[in-house]
Amino acid sequence: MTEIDGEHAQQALASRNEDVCSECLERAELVSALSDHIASVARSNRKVSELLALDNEELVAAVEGGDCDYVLGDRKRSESSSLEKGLERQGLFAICLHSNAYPRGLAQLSDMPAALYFRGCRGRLQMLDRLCISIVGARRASPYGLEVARAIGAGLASAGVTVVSGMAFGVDAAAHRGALEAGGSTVAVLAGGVDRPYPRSHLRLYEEICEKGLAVSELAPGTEPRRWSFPARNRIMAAFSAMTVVVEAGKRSGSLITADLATTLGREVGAVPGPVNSHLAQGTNALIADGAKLIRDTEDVLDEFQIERPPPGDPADSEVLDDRQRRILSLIESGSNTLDQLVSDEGEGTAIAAVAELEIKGFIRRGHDGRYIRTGKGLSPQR
Amino acid sequence: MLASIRTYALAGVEAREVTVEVDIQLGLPAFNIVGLPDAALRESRERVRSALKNSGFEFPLKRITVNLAPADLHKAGPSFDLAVACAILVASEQVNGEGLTGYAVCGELALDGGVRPVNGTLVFAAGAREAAMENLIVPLENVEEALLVDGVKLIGLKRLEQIKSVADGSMNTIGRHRRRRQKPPPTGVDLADVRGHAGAKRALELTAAGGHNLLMIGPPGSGKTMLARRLPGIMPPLRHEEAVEATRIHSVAGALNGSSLIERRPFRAPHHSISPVALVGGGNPVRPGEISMAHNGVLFLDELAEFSRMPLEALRQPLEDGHITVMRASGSFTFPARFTMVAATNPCPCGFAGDRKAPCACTPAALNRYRLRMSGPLLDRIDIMLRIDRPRLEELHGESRPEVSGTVLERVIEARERQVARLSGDGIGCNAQMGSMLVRRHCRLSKGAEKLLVQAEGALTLGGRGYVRILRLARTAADLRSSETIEVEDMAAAVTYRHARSDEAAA
Repeated sequence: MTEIDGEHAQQALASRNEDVCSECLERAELVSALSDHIASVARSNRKVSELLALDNEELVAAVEGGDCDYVLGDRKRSESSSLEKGLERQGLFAICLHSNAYPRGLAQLSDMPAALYFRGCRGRLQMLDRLCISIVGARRASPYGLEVARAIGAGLASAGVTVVSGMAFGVDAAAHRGALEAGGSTVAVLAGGVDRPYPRSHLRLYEEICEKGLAVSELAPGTEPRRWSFPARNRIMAAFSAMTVVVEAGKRSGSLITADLATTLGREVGAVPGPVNSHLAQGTNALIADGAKLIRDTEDVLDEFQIERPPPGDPADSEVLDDRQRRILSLIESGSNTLDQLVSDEGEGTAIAAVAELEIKGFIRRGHDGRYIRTGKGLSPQR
Repeated sequence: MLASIRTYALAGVEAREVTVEVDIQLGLPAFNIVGLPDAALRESRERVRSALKNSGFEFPLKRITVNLAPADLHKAGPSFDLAVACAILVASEQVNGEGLTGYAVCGELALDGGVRPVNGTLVFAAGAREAAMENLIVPLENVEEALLVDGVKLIGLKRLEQIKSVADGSMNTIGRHRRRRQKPPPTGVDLADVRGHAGAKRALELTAAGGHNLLMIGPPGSGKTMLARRLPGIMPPLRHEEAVEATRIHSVAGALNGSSLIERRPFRAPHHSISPVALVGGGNPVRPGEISMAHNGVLFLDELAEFSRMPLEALRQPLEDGHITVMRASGSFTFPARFTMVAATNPCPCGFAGDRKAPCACTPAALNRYRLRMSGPLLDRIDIMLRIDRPRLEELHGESRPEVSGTVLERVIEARERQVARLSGDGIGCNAQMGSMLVRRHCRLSKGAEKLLVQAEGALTLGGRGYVRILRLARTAADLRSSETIEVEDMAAAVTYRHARSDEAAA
């Protein structure tokens, strides 16, 4: 990494009232421009990490990209201010590692990104100053995993914590949605350029995140996500946050790698337990057995950092369920979670009435496969 | 010599009057048919020529011109054969033209002079009655069908040569058909065959009584198809006007094979490989599709996700309007298509999402695609959604005495009669057809029911549509209890059974 006189550069930036310097932008552009080359050379995550830690000249050589200046072409000649204006036109902004706003956590990485591109309101950069928690997990999550991710995302956001995730299918999206429901304190770290939401079917989610939170990427706008850029993105997620929570993970899930990264960086790792005979809980249960913190709910996360719980605003939280509702609820919790089963267990009148009431009160929801899911409501005992 | 005979053409499920004019002049022998005939009609010439000759008549070796008026209406099909032959016979003075005035004629000819049945005779008879044309000559095999229309005197011909007897007055018309309204024959399957599925059976009852569209989600082999097939056995019989309409449609499709009005509500289950035209209607000649055959009945879409996008898209207009309009160069035809839609689907491509024993093997992208396919305007029209699973052991053996279809049917009939009485002034026949205005007018809520509804509105994302949907369902649930007021238990049933789309599918 080119040794720029850090302090000097920082002062220079501050004096110009800018957040990004041309050298860092150049570096970011270089990496993005070499994306295809990196893709063909990088065979493992470690290799990617090694590559990204090289300085410009070495990097180009390592990926056989030809000549550094050639790769950058016209971009090298632009002034940082005009580059910034270009970004502004696209509704984006960037900060570089010399800026005060650069997340401290990222500085720990040996291959830290030179610049970060953002989409969203600039004022919301202060979200990065608050406690950041990353929520990751299986893409093919079960309704249970999705519900837990959503609930923790919502709970953390309500408590003033920033929820960081990757906007992928499954747990990521659920966590973002939970946070958005609770006011929007969420950051999506993308594997492509910040203007390239992936997966494409999450476009609406992406737009909501940009509206209420922030989307961020280390790659220049217009860069398509590649295989190598996903684990690269995961390292950023691990480094951003004080804790990475894995909600559901099979034995070989990518989220386990993110958890490992977090540990290497000295961050906390939390995991949500699951049924022992569920393949989606193999990874998370193993993490717990290996020493990760057992996470049941928002409180478990907040306790780790001694954050104040938000006052129990909703009086319905302490709502008492009547016998009938309680019986049906425990049936659903124990797996009897379709209407036919409940009617068979408790009779039609009871089942139908109780299900309607429980759904309205928020204790259960409908899953996309038609089953009922126990939400997180009312589960935390008074602490 | 000039002669003309009246006949009818099919336009959708209506009859249009056509006049067959024949002019025979001296000149080189020729036989031309003009007036926008289609291919089948053009082939008429060969059939008419052979039939005439083989019936002992002479085929005039002159210049014969046949005109089918009006000239700008496209005519299709072989049902004009008989009329053309008759007109030729009259024009060539082989048969007494006066004896045939006041008769409309329809039928196809066989080469040997026999008269073949055609589609749509019922519709022709209705058209004849409307045109105050009292007498209709039809193929003998179509007489039963045509007799379903009152006020038209019929003559059924088996052979072309019989037309002589008609013309000289020696053949009698057939009088009114004495028909009794028969109870429809048993369907062969009964609700009591189904063990377990208590919640699902109630959903079927709601669907049968109120006409609500139903979606069943479940893994393969869970019983969705079995349940759907029990629906016809608990559906209320058709009212007279509905029966007439259904019979008309079946007549046009050539699907009438009984001598009486269709009594049982149609139940159509097209295979998922069906083409859009076969599903909604069209083709050449324009024929009614499955949705029209299902008019006032049930359209069962098994394996909903396997249907290709086009036929499903084609369902949108009829689901909205209750009819389908097919446009052709020859004009536009409207077929009635107001049906109850019942759909069954797997929760995901491999079928096992949500199953604890078998892990879902689908990739997230495939899952997402599948769910996106499932959302949309089609699902918006579904009132009831239910998860169906194979019953557990205790459910299979637990039920003491499951209700038979007959018992359920009684409740359903009573509930439907209440609806008909209540809604007769509004032009609809069941609760599922109520829009927001009617729902407000007809749904009287108890205090408890109203409280639950307000809570539901606040807690669940209902939207305007969801709100109307819940009230409709509650109205049916109350009707099934013979209650005019909607009580809290009805509202609870509506909330529980409603079709709720989880937000995972939406974004």
